[in-house]
Amino acid sequence: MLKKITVVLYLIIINCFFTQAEEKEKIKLGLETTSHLSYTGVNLGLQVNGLLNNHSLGIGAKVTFQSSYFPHKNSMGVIIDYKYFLISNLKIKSFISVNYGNTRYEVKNRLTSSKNTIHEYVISNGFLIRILPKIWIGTSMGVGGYREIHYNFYEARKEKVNGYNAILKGHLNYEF
Amino acid sequence: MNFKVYYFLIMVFVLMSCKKVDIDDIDNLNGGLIYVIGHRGMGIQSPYNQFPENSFISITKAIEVYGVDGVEIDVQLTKDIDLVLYHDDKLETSSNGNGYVYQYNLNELTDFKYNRDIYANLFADEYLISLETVLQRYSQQTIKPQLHLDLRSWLYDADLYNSADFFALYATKIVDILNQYQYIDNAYITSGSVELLKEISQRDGNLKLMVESTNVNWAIENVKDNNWYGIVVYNNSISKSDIKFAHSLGIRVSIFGVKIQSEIVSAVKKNPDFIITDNIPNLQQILYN
Repeated sequence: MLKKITVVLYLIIINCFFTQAEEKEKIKLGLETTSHLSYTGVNLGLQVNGLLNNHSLGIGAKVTFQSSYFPHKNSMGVIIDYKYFLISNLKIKSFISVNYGNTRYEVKNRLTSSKNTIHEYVISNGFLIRILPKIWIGTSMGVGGYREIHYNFYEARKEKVNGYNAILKGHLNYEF
Repeated sequence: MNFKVYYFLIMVFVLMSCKKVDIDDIDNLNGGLIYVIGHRGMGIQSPYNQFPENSFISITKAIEVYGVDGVEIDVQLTKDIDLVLYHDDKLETSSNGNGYVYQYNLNELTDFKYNRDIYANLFADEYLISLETVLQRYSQQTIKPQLHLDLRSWLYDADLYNSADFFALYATKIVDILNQYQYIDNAYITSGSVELLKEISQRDGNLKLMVESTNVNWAIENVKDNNWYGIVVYNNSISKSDIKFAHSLGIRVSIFGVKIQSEIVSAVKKNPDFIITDNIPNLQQILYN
């Protein structure tokens, strides 16, 4: 319960805190690296962003770290990320993001193998702070869901599992 | 340290992680086959594994999604002489309960939820479960997963039982429930208590009994003297030659404390019969790719 309250407070504070005047953005391209913690565990992503005024659309790839200190073989996926900047000036940006990501991974056991997929979709809220002329860092938190499609080895059938999801993300952005 | 030193250390770390194993060289009592056993299900909870240890989701995920050969789970005797899955002695360390497992009946214990760390799923509540829940789920399967039951044998109220009574009750319950679900062939009973294993052995001579200890020689001696199945040893406490010696006596060896890649590689090279791992995907990757 405490964590849920913390998430709600975080969303409120982020939006109330940065109340500076907005600055209209021009069409820009950017690179964004993210690290996030969600249902799939620890993920690292790299995406290309197109920015127009208060909108940003990003497409990229990510690698998911399974229960391992190294990337699990074939454990990769795509990211599609839309951001709407509530506040955008020369020093700080506050945004709401709609984010989809998937992870495809292969499981091999002694008898057989299967390729499983986890879809994650979240709405998050966060901010970016400019630390260098073209570099921004920030964080975001969000909630959403996941849909896991996996092969059940013991029941010998595909299974689909849906559930709630939460995400904590770190951002490092470069704007050309 | 300057950048070059950091770079050197990173390269050493990366190269260490690339150690290879030739699985054709594995020589054990399973004909070269090492069984993959999930430690408390999917392993110890971490940012890479959000499932609480011994929870239903952790056990089913390991068995059904990753198709492991079996899971190692921690068993404790409850106040009403039933069996619950829980590792620690005190409930508050891993759940929202307080006190000791033996102070509660099973139906009270299964109302306790596992604590969640920051990396656990925010919305998923996992409760303590009974051993019977797991047996019910898998007893009807054609290929039953191995259940390595780690019996927590020192956790009881000395005012309620003397150790002999406690071991007798515990052994009877274990044997009865495994017989009830016809799971004798796929159950591996592990304990650090030779007395408890003797009680179980007296009730059912067909059960596979394994002595757990950091003292390899002591464990081997006890298994040999009692004609039991094998030993369970921490990875860093046993060498390849120790395992070869155990195998020469017909004693199976199960290794735990295996998580990062270097530990997995070192464990596989020792030719054990079972590896109880906290990193199922990585072990499977090494053994089956």
